[in-house]
Amino acid sequence: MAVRMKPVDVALVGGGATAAILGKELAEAGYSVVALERGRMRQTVPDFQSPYMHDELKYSVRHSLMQDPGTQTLTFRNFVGQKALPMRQLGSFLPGTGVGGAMVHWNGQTWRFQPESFVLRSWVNERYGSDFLPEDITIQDWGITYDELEPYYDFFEKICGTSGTAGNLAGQIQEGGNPFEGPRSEPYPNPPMKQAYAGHLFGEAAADLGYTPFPVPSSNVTRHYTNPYGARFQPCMYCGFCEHYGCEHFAKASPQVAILPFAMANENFELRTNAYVQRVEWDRGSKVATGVTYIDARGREVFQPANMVALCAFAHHNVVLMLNSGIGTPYDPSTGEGTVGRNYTYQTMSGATVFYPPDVQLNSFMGAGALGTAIDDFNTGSFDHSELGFVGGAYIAAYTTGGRPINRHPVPDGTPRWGTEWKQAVQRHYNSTATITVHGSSMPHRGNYIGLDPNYTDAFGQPLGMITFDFPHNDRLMSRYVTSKAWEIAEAMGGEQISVSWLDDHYSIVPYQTTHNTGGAIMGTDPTKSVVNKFLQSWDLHNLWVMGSSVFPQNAGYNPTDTVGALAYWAVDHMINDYLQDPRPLVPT
Amino acid sequence: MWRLSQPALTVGLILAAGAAGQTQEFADADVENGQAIAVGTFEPSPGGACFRCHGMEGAGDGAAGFPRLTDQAYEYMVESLREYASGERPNQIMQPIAAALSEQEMRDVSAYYASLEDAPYPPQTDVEPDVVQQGAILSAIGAPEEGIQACVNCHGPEGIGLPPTYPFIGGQHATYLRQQLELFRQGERQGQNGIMVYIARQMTDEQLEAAVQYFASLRPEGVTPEGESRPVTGAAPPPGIAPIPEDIPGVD
Repeated sequence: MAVRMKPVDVALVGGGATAAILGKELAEAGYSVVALERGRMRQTVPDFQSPYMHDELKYSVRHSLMQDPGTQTLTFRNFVGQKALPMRQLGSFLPGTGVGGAMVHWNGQTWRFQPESFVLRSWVNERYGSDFLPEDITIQDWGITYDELEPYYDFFEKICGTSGTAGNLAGQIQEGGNPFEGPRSEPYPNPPMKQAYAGHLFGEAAADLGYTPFPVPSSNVTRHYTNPYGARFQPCMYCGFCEHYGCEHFAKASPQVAILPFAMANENFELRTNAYVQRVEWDRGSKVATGVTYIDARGREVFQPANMVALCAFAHHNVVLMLNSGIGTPYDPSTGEGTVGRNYTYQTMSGATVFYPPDVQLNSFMGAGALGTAIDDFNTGSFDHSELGFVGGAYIAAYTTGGRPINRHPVPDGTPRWGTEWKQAVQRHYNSTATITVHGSSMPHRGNYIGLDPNYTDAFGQPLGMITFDFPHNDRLMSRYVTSKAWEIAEAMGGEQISVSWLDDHYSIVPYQTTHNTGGAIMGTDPTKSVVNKFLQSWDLHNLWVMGSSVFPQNAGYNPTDTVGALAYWAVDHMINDYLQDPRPLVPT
Repeated sequence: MWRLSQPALTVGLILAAGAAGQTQEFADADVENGQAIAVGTFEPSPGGACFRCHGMEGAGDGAAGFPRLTDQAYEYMVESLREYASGERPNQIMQPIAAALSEQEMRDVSAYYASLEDAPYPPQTDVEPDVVQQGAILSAIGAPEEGIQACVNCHGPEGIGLPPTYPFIGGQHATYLRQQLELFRQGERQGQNGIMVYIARQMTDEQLEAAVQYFASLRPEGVTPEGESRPVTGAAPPPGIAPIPEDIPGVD
């Protein structure tokens, strides 16, 4: 018999970025909110303190801030018909656990999606024709436009203290910024990071080839800054420990620094840790969510009644929760029907490495997660695809995220994998190697989706989520095209030797690529092809909302966090100012 | 323990310095010329030799507020000399001295002091343990509710510094530390991104003094400060606990 808690207005599943945003805003609007976080409490002090934080073995190798696959994991296969196997160690992506979620260990790369991304289906049809893409590329419009989202992007960037150079201010292209971005209503709240030498060399080569380099927008904050909530940031020290780590300097925007203290200060908000949500309970007759059931720290099953539920867990986890709760119609790849699990997308990563002579010292240990110089000439809306046969694109960037010795030991092709020669090569190249990243979009394919595994269960006895994913042909073409452009820039950077990392033949769950899992509970205009409407409200249960990158109908060639944050503010605005005053489906069907 | 690990640490620092792109610059620096500058036999040393204030071993002078240079990172010292020369770090004594040095001479003399092993420490001053404890807390976790982050985040455990940017401050003279924090407070010295200006301004007088006293009190393990002798026998054990026998079986 489950323990029954006192009812609340809103139950949030998760204690990361979007839960912090919703918790802060809803509590302030007067609603009682409980956020249910499966992990433990974490604060900058004492949990992210130097020198213990700078432990590469503990955090980068053993993934101490991440989900424990021994409790819950996913199974994976490349295509329908293969037997999916459980991911017993984290690899390709690193879902966070604990308060702050993945926004604790993120890098701080804070990109907006281009206006074209939000209306991709219409844009492609209009510009290239409706038969330009094969039918199995199931791109969709989001139901929202860039202009609608812009004020929320702007606000989220102010919350994060994002540092950068605007490239488009109210339609006016700005010197030094990204000319391919959508119009900004205001400049970044903080000036860009000091650019690293590798980025400088990349920028010079790119400019010589006629491209427009600019500093990557960064939520590693560049000066003392107070955000609109009153959170005080301190400047980034370029210590090179962002990704996989918490920030000890109060410099990287994490929920702990930027948002949570202002939710926690409100008595309407409760953050309940060690609460592992199992499912959303809902009434089959009236079609409303009634609360959530979770397992608490003592192993008890607990029911938390709520008038409204928002799924704020990691991307695929929101989808698995819906499937395990029996909400909506599971997507069926054989018919292409059903919505929950549909359009699971990822990111199409490739790159190039430039090996310089020993006198070129790049000091890569002087880094920050979002310290990079980029060009955006090859992203979705930046160039003409009509002769190329694909849609999408990528930004190309030279990042200097840190020189941590376990993970960073670049050696040229042909170097032995171990032994004396390998060590000599590492010593020779460690400080003289620049890395170029091609951060590619991911288009949805009819065969790529999230379902429930028929064989494997988690520690609680529930079916594991099952990911079926491989790179669509469209994305292979995209990756080949943009990677070849990156190669040209690498050639122009004047090194001694270059290696190019082309996209793998098949997606593999093993090597780390990015933690940018997207889709599966997508937003859209058609209830038969999307899970939530343009306000992130479930088509099926009007008091259920889905946050995070789960709602992206397809993934753009950018990091998702800025869009995740903007969408959360967009959604909570409509919850407070419309829905909660008169609960109903905000988009009639 | 510290004495044993010190050469290893020095090697580590040099390797780190190498990784910091200093291999070539550091290797090109002429330590002998640096020593000549330090002792004042080098012609353009205006107002005299470094050693008169900083000592030949880099021990500095606590009474006068001249900093210890031993243990300090090469790059930090070169950068400091450049800033003194340009007036970015205002200092009436160091400004003309640094301005008279060429870039190469700055490197040489910095390389000389960076090459030294730890110099003798002054005796510990009589500071309330509570004050030192408060400083140790500031070092380890800061005072987050007041926006003061932990010293350890940049200056490392026990103030050993993080070359090339963040100076070694463990065992530094209290007079010098206090003076620098005051300069940061007044905005006379900026440091990296103004971070120390902010921190010094957030600190109360009491916190500032506690941090100063804590870092000034640090000594490498095994150092017996001048004028002190170590207790020969331990304190009496608490009641109910048997004293440790003189001869422990199996232990030589």
